[in-house]
Amino acid sequence: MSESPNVLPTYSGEAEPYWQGLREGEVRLQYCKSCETYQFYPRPICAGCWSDDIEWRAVEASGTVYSFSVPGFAPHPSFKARMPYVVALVDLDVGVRIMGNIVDCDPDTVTIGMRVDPVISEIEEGHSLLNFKPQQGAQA
Amino acid sequence: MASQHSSQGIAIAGVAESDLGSVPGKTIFQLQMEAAKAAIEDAGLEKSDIDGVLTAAPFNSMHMPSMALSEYLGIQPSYSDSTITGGSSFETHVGHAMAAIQAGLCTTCLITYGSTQKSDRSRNPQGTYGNPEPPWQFEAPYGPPLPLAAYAMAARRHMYEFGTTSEQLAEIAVATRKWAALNPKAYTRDPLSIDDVMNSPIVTDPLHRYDCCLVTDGGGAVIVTSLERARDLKKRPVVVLGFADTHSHMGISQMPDLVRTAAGITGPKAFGMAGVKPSDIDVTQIYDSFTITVMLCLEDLGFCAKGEAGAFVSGQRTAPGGEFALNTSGGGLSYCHPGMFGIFLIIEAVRQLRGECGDRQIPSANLALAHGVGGVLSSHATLILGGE
Ligand SMILES: [Zn+2]
Repeated sequence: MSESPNVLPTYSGEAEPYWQGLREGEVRLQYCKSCETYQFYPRPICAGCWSDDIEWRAVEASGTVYSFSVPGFAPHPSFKARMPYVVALVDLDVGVRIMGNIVDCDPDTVTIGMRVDPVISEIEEGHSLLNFKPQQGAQA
Repeated sequence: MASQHSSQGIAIAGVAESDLGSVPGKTIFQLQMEAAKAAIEDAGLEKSDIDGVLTAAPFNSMHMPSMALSEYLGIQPSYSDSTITGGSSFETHVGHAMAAIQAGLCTTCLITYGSTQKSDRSRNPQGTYGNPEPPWQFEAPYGPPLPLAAYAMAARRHMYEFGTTSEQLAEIAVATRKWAALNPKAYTRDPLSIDDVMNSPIVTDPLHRYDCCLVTDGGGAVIVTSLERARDLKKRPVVVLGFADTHSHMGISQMPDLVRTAAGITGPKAFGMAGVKPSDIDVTQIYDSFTITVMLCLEDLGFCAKGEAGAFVSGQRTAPGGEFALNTSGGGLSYCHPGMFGIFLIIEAVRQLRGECGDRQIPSANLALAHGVGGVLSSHATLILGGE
């Protein structure tokens, strides 16, 4: 696996249900039943209230672009072929912020406030990422 | 005018840089020893007076920084501190030195920093791939060049919320270059125009090349001791009047609000401790890793209202001869930036308060602010310093 030319996630046990969900085509996030909020990234307990009354829930994962940038250079060789690409922070409707690429669109058309839907992208076999694409007809 | 909350006044008694710029062949230990020796001489002290050692090192350049450095310098300290919060580490070190001296753990602290980033060509964002900290697991696969992309996203959000323009960001780069032209030690002193900034390549959209700090080698050192002792030393003491630090996040995806930084917490606390307000400050040093960093901190420290930094810096108001003296050394943008700039903010603030700044001296400067920022707008540390 260390031979992969791609930047793969660094997997940790506490986050495995998240990555497993993506491999199965579903976005799963941790929900704290005590303070009634989702949290991202995954942890053994809720980072807000430290309750251990948390569970994994499948979510819709649509959201709004909070901010974004188009890198002028590739920080790792594997990104060179993908330039130009959009690195964004997306505020999911369920209340967490998450980084992703905005795909399936011209980077020049991405705007803050744009509505986006989740896209699960397989980087290589067994490794999937949550990305986003503009909603049909969406412009901020 | 000692701090109202402290039992004992604390002062900065010595400051110095090592060789700066491009210094191939020297190690970070050499640079720190050079700076330490010069700072001790600046204070009129001896090496044997130092009983506290504080240092920080970027990435993995030193494994146990204060221990390795103490051995190299030949010092066995009674207070040792390797706190690393990125570029703000050294403002934090002054706060820790103050607390340690007031608690009786030591009497005279040496704070140092050194980097050979330019000669190593080590500012390579690829180096951060493989970082084990949790937020990075969920960021690295998306290809953000960090820290650039983080600051770029903050800049874009500031533009979106407040109508800030690239030209307004460029005002900071241009004004800072004018200060550098007055500092013989500055690395880049050629004239720079707003057009030059706007026409420079986009490094990470929307930031241009000249919105970003330099990559240089260099080191610095600061000596902190009691005000009582500092009064008997070579230079006029610079009193530590206010200090506060905090951090709000590690990774940019975890920052609560990209246009409201934790400087909004440290600024008011430090001003409160010092018993002064932003309009009292004569000369301001804010970590200029990027032009947007300065804008956000000007607002959050209370020098202008939220969203108004673009107007605040327009018309070269922060340039020599302008109404607001900012980053008078030439800053990380034009003077030097060896990986982390925090210690150089303190060095320049002290020199301004002592009246040692030659062509760039702010007349009768008596109150200075130095504000360090580390990580991706993550850590903030504010120091308020005063002349005696
Ligand atoms: Zn909770």
